[in-house]
Amino acid sequence: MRIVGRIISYAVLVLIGLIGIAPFLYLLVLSSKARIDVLEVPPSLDFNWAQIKENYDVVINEKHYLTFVKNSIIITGVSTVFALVLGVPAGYAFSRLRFRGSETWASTILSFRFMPPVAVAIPIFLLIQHLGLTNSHLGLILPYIAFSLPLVIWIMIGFFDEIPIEIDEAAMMDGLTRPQVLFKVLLPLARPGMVVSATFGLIFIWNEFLLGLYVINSSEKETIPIAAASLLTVESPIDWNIAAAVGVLTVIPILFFTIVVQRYIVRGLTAGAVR
Amino acid sequence: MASVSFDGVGKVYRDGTRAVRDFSLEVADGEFMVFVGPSGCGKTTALRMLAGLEAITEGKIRIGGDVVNDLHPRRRDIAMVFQNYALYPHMSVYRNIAFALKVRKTPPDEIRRRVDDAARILGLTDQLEKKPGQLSGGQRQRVAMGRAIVRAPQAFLMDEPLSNLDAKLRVQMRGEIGRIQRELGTTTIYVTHDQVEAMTMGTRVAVLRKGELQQVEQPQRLYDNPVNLFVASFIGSPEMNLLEAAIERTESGLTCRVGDSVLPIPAETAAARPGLSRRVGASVALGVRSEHLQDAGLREVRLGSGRLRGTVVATEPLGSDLLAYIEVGAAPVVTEELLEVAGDADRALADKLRAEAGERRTIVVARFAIDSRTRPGETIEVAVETSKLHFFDLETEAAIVD
Repeated sequence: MRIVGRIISYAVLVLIGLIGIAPFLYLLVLSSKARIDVLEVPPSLDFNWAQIKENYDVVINEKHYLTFVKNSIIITGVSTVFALVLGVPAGYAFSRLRFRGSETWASTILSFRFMPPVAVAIPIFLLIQHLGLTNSHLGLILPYIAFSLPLVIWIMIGFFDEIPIEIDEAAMMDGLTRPQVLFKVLLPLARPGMVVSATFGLIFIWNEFLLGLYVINSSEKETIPIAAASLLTVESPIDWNIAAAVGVLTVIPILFFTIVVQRYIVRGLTAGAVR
Repeated sequence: MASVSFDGVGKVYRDGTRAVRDFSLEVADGEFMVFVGPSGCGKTTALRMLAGLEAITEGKIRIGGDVVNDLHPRRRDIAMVFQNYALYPHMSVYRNIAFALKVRKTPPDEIRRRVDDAARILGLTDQLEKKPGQLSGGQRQRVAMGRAIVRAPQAFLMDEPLSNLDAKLRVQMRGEIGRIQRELGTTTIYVTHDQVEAMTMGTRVAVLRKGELQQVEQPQRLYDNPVNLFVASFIGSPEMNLLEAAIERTESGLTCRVGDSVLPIPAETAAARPGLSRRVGASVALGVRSEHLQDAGLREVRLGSGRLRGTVVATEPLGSDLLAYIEVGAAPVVTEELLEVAGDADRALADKLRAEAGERRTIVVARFAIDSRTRPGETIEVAVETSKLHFFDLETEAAIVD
């Protein structure tokens, strides 16, 4: 009976996995086709190396796709790092220090995240314009930090709350100041939390489109989502094979990151990080 | 090592709750002081104020003569063992123990030597490379101890360090902590709610209740001369039997009437406690420890001339002796304090006490010699060692001593 149960559960899991991965596999196959072959249903699986090379060559060299990847990596990376640098100590403070209005502040900060980016995109754009930061990386990095912070702070509050306060107290009695307690003792313990909050922030920023569209107006500063969109709309008719190659190249960096940190993500999401 | 002193210390939390009131106490250099009391009595708060983990609202705390009120915990040079041990889960046992030394920039070979010493004292030598998660409860407890002793601090503070261990291990660690403390001679303040731990470990024991210090004494003196009903019922197991009694004067001297029995008060007791003769005609609370009651039917009863009559309701042979629960026809002493202690242990017991207060019957616990043949249902005579009686004022709940 147990074996039957196992087989059934594996079958279900495999099915779910296939449903999840199918669109990506389809994308991968499409990106290898010539323009005329993409309409074939079902797509044939005989791959033509020269065609693959040509598609990706178009994307990378003709469309300067690597520039956009570089832009995205810089903007996403810098924003996430700063969100962590600011958000982790803030989360620690909210978890450990009881100051006037600390709970109100914590929920206010979270409520910032309830607003859809659409609602604030225009005011933020105007703000960026007044600062003279339009068409610069910084013009995107600043609002992205602001968007990521609430999430980082809240995830970190949860992780710090999981760590018994006696650990802090023991460390202080062992001779550490409060900031030292955070950096020397708690950060190693809260690492899964940092990875989880970084991942959420990262994925949001990597995919963010609207603000990027407002702030950036020269193609060499564009991030991937904007670049991908403009590649597809300017040309007509649409080259679906090229679009698929763009899609593949967009997914790869974030996929790579996720694989690297997935050990922490699983541990982080299932909580109970310490014990 | 240093002495520790509390001088009129008080603690009021931000929400207005008062945890400690006018707490004054001197702990001598090298002394093992135990703070004991029911939960919420302020013992842990007092300890945390000393550690610097809780702000001091009133009064002064001194370590080695220096006021430490405004010092950060790391500057007080004291080590603490927490109830949940608070080990650093990501560090090996070695690094856990060495941590404080490393923070203080102790030379590496000195660290190694001291950690090895501590590990040897605690029997942790083979566990040094493990992580806390791989250790048993008892071993974790030892690591927490190791972290404290390796520093050779001014004082050890221990906050219920044994309460997460099983009964057998607790007894073993009790002895071990005592041994280590004697070897190192470090001033130690130990917080517990367990009066057995308090009695067996402390050089002196401070009993607290509702944030107020009740009595500070050596364990035996505390047991023999409790200053009030609270200390009397809190210290000792089984609890001291408390009955309402009327003081009367007869030709042969003072007596106290307990229900339908009359117990003579020895002349020495009456002389030492003039307060008793002032209460002739009044009711007092009479306290008798279970070991001062004996089966009067036994051949060699060396106890005094007092006799109580009662019905045995239950017996518990313990091997060494026999606990007999005997219903006697006297009103029990039920104070708010007692209800609180009972309610702490179990609510049903508190309700039962309250119900019994209306009736004139009380169950006393007697520790009989094991050869007593008494059985439940029997009516027996109980011999009372009248020289060991305790008397308390029913109003003030204080012991009648003068």
